[in-house]
Amino acid sequence: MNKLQKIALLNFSLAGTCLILQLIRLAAGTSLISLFVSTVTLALMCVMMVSYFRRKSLVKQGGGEYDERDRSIHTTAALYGLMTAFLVSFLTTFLAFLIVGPGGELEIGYVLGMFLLSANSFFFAESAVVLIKYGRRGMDDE
Amino acid sequence: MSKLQKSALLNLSMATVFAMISTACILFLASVNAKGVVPWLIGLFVCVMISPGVYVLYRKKSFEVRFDEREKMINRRAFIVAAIALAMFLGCACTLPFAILGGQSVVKVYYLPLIFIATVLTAQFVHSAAILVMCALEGDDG
Repeated sequence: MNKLQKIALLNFSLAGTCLILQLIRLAAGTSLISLFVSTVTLALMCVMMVSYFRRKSLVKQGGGEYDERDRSIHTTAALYGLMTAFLVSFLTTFLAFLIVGPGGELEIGYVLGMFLLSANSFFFAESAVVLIKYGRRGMDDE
Repeated sequence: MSKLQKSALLNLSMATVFAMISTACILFLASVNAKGVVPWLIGLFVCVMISPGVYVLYRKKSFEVRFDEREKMINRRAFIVAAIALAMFLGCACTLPFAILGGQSVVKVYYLPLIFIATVLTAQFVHSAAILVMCALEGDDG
């Protein structure tokens, strides 16, 4: 397992944890738990951002660890991540509009939650695709 | 004007027209306080009716064109710029109201699709503008 895979695995586990925490926050509803879960989610997202930029610096350094196939894998993964985030953003908007109705009102935290959920989905899908693609590549090499 | 530039102009104009139509529809739904599944079924019916025409037009003008290597590179760079703009716009649109109005405030639910449409339009605008600017710059250099 190379460094890029390790970073992807870390991001995948963190994004998965964040998604579960978001679901807990949605189910809990109370403000104290919600505040705690939001703080933990933000902290985890900061860690994810740091590891994401760490990967960027590894890519910029170049060397033998990052070749054309790695670039292709990460481009495809970023595309999948964007598509997932777009879909999640659309679904949260659509469902809120459908359930509450156009004349209704929502807590402003929902808008922020929508953004966090979309960002988490991006990291989750991107890391998952990176891991899957590297797994397939490993099988092809064997 | 190259095929890529024509495609960018067409995409920009179509995105603007559809965003204006969608915004008008959402504001209409909000004004009559439409609720439930019926407005969505009407919207789905309209989409099903107009989508073949849009597909034919879009395919004829955009998907069938064959870009050369230089145009593909410009398109790829413009996509990256558009993705960054999309993320930044969505982040600002979701976090700034929270910061300005405070966490206890409420927002009208029809702001959510407006934010979504504005984000998509911004991404499309940046993508098309980046293509046009980069083509113009390369034209100046050449």
